[in-house]
Amino acid sequence: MIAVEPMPFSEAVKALAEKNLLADYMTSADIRALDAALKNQSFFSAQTTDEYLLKLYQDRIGGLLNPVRVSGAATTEYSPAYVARAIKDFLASVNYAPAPEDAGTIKDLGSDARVSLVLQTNKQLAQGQGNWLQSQRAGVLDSFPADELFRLEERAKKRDWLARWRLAGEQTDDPIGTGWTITPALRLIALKNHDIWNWIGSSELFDDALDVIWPPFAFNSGMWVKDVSRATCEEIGLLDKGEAAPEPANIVSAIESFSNKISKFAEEVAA
Amino acid sequence: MSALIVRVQSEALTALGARARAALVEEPMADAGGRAVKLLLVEHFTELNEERHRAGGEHFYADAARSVQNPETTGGQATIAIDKIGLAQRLFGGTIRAINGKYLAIPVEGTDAVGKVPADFTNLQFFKTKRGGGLKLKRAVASVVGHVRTGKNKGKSRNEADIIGDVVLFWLVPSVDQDADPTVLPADEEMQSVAYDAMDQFLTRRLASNN
Repeated sequence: MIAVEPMPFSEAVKALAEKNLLADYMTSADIRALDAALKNQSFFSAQTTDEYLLKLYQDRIGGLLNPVRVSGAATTEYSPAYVARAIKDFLASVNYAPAPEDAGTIKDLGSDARVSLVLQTNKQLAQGQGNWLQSQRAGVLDSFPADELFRLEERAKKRDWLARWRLAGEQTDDPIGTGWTITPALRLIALKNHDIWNWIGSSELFDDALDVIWPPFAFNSGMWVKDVSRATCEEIGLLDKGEAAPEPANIVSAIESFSNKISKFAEEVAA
Repeated sequence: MSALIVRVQSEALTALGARARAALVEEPMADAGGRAVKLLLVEHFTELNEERHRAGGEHFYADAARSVQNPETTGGQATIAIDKIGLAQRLFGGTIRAINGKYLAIPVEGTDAVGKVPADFTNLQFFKTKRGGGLKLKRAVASVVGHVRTGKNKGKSRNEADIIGDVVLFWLVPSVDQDADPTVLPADEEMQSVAYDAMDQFLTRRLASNN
């Protein structure tokens, strides 16, 4: 049966609402250098100091995730194009002007590329976190013990995710085929909560990474994750028949573990 | 928000539910079936995004895939919500009317207007049509480039804008009738089938582990 009823993606909305606004003169590289635990609680846009603008972004993205629509009312304000327009209108109202050399580039707060990147990245981070939280249930982990990293959106220029997957896998203590794998058809699959998810979105390995354990793992990425069934996991050797599924993870400890891992890695590299 | 809600029901699923109730695993079994339908929906939207995405526009179906929620289970029944505005409109069809203004602005495919709104442009000019109107981009260059020797303007000077032609970016219409598109979702039978398989596998495994 198909119906239309009120049902918000509450985990995603909550994930977004709980983020603190991080207003500062930080570049994307500076933001990546932040401790991951802090960053996961922060809504960010590089070099955006105006808290009102960040709040406007947060509210509008909240509207995209959970449009509270009155029956018969227009849905215009939930269109990404109109949300982008509202951001640009605010910038115009405060007479924002980019430095001449930045006009039209990603550094220009009012450029199409910049507004679109901020909207898209933060909305997808909230969706990714919401999906991650919804997966941490024993029943889900038992029936769908693994995730597949796959291309959801095409890009003109694609990153080499196969190479990234190998590199991320090599950081774990597990050889390929144990906990994570690449199938003959080049599917990138790993058990949920496996260590590889701590590395695939880590800026210690990849400059453009967002330092998160859920998608999107990198700026403007077209990749996402989807469930892999127990039957497939057994077929490709990630689990033995009837083997116990991964344990549900707690978000606080998962982020702490991720953060500690990155710090340890950075210390080792520095040494 | 008004989410699109999918509940998968069939006699076969009801029969499985009765067995699960007896084994006290009704809720987790429904969860397994619902999650299988979620995966099917994600894969379906991924395919639609590949087939239907238009350059410059929003990745509508990719966003729908990201908006498929985990199933909610109550009374052995799984409910899956898809929080993507516009998806129900595509599925059921119907008339979309301008509410806040006189017209809906529809970007013309293949132009810079895709993914934008009229307010993103500063030099649009309105023109009337039978159904409503349009917004065209008035070209900035308007120098006289010579004589046009064909058509009714034969022999007269025209400026470059006239020769090149203005670019229509938006059509303005008071309403749009959209046909229902059942292919927006996988077929009911397909959803029932994946739900049944996942629930059957779950129940078989759970009963075996209880023996």
